[in-house]
Amino acid sequence: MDSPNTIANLGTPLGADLGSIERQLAAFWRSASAQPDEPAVIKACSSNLIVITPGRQQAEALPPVLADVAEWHPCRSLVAFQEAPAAGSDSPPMQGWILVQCRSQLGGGPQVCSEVITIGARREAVDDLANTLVSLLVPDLPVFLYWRSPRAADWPLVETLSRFTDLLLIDSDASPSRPEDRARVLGLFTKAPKPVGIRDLSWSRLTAWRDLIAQFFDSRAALSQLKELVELEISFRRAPVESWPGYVFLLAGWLTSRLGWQRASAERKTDESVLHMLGDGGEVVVRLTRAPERTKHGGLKMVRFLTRNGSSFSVTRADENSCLSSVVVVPSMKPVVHTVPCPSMREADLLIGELSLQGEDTGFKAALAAAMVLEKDIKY
Amino acid sequence: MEDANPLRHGRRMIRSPEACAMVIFGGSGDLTRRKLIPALYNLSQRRTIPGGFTILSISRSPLGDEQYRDRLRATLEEGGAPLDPPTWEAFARGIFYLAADYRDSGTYLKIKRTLAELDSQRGTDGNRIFYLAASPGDYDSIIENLGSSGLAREGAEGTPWVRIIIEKPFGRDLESALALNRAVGREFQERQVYRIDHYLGKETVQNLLVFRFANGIFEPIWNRQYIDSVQITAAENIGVGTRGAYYEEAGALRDMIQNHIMQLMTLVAMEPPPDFAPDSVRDEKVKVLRSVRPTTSDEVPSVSVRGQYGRGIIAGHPVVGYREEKGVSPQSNIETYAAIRFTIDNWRWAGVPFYVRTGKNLAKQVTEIAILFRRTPHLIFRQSPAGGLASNVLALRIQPDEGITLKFVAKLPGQAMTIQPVNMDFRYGSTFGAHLASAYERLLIDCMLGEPTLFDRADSVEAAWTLVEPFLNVWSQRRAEPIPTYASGSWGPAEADEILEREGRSWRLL
Repeated sequence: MDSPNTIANLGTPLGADLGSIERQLAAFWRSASAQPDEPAVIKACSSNLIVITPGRQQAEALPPVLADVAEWHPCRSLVAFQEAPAAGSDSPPMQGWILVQCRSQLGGGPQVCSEVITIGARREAVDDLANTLVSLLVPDLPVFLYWRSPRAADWPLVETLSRFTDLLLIDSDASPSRPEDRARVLGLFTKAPKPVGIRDLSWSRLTAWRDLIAQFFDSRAALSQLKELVELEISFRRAPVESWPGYVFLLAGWLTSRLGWQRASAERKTDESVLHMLGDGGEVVVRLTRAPERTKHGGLKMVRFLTRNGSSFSVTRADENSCLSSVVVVPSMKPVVHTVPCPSMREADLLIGELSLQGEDTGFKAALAAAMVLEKDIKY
Repeated sequence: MEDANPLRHGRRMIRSPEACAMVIFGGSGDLTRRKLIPALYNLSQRRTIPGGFTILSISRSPLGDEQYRDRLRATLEEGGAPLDPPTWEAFARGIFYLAADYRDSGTYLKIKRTLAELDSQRGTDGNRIFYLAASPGDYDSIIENLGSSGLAREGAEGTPWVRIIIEKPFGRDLESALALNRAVGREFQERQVYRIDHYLGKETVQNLLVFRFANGIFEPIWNRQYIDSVQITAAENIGVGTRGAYYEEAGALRDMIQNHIMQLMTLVAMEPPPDFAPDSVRDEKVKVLRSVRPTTSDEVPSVSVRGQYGRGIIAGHPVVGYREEKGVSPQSNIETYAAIRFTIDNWRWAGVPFYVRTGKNLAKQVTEIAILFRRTPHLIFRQSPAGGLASNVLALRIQPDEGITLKFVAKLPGQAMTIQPVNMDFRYGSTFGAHLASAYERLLIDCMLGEPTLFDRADSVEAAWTLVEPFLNVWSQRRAEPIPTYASGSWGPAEADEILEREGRSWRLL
């Protein structure tokens, strides 16, 4: 994607008068349309995207991500963060910044622009943050809430905003995950009075893996192999910090819930956990294995199914930068290999993908519930 | 768990077909190299088709598998970014080539044997798609041989399945279309047949259905009460190029109006189907074609115009006339431009003319449908007489710059009550990013999934030929008469304007 042009960076904090945000933006659009020597601009907006970030630094890094998202899903972005306690006490309790980012279109024509409004609140003003954000929403358009790094302190804000939200996006890989956090997220699915649709970028990162795994069993002949499965191995690389990443449980949860496997027992070793499960065709061993190598971001290394008649179905990723390969090995047949590029894991691309999907992702809900049970079995 | 893959659950896991073998007749042709293989490669890259997906290309050129793969790779690289070696190699391992004569029954025994081997090597399970991308003159022979060799036969209850994709033209007139449909019908059941018109795979064409039937505000005014006329334009600013020989046999009427433009007209004019099931949509489309008033031979001159491009200038460059093109007779009277006025005799459209036009070497490359609304019955602003005001227009642009524009009038700021037309614009490129998947990707995956909604049915093809038949006949009888010419880079022959001017209308300036 091309870099966006920032054509208006109204960097001076707007102070306590947040009402002036709309006036300033309106003035900007009037002036932009009256510049005969400047390229023409179009304001595009088909949704609202609220982003909750943990602090000022993260908020400042967001505009390029939001510009890429707006290219596919033109939106007004509202970025909210809580100022660190050490922030100057003479600053107003709440401040705003506005930014207009534009992009040229392929083949010429006017630049397409979107607005980013950033609001920082000191601790004493955090309770008012939700009202401020809601007042800045463009009416009659869907509202998406992206909770970038889930943390306990933001729960009240998220729960308040979820009343106005069509979809909540989280990234459970972005912060250390605890079972109680997952349970709370799961609770939002059924929250009264308005359940919230939830998406997790951690789940999005598994899409390519899940696609290739599902493809193994698309044909009727291969479908019958599901009853012949005797082993499932999910192998992952260690990341510097996290030892048992949530995505491993999500993937295992998805597979076990969709295949209807019931847990019988669990063994926990240093680098491997083994679950004995009961499926339609009898016992299935599920191995979650930590590969010895440690990499910057961790990540899945291999998912492999073995059947009692000697067939195997595997998806592997040789290293962090390689493609994904699925391999079907059936006795008496040559191995069938399918190699695909790894989809982009850029934050913007993941968000674009999620915002393109409509409706509730029931697969994620079931996988999350099953993941929590597996995680409890293995970790505690 | 017995019938469906339990892992195919949830919104992002729905569109992936079973492994199958696609047998392409015309494997070394332009269509295969430039459209089909790039589309299939993109689908493979995006994990939309499974690893076992296999291509068996048939053509007369003597090539081996590796040579053929190298040629495809070269064409793919010409057309875009360098290929990623591991992904290409995995994809190419599923491509095979058979040099053979389509008319030889022995060819089909070889195909049968090869497919059986590929089934066991690649897990394609007997699922087949036969793609007719060869010369239309070979269609009959291929279809008959597929039948007699048993290759057209499906398993019990459609498992394994066998489908056939037929590339246009579906015949060159009503008689040949009927004969082709009969030939196909002898060997295949209609549910196995996928007649491809790539226009229907375009996002913007599909969006027509969404626009009409998912927005509550348009359907109530989508009728003769509010709509004055409809104009459909498919203009190209290029000539016939290397397709001169083909065009000499086809002409604009066969090449564009009988298929692409008829498709657009049916989508604009159809009644809301009860659901989006394949036959619900296709039933409504064919009803439109059956409601179009047949044109008699006597009426043809007054409701249609044909033309042929002469020399001219396009985008600053001089271009040659049609008769100077390679493969074209210097005395050719084939039309490169056609404009027709159609009338639909039903309650919704009675009295609303549908003007359609298409041509090569016109001023601009543009395909659009314009809905022109009736003017206000009485204008209260005396300074601007109602007759002088532009009517509201809803323009649905199919290509390029895909989008929708609504023209309405607004007051110019100031003391005077001055009224001026303004456009409200929606552009796909600005709203959803500029990257639209190719029409072939969508249609190929639909065929693999057994979803025929976006494919033509036999009755619809025949109905479309029935409508253009009078024009074909009259124009063919007049081949000896001079054909009106138009300068390349213009908007077509002046005679085309007269069809509308007689009725107090004019073509939109695009």
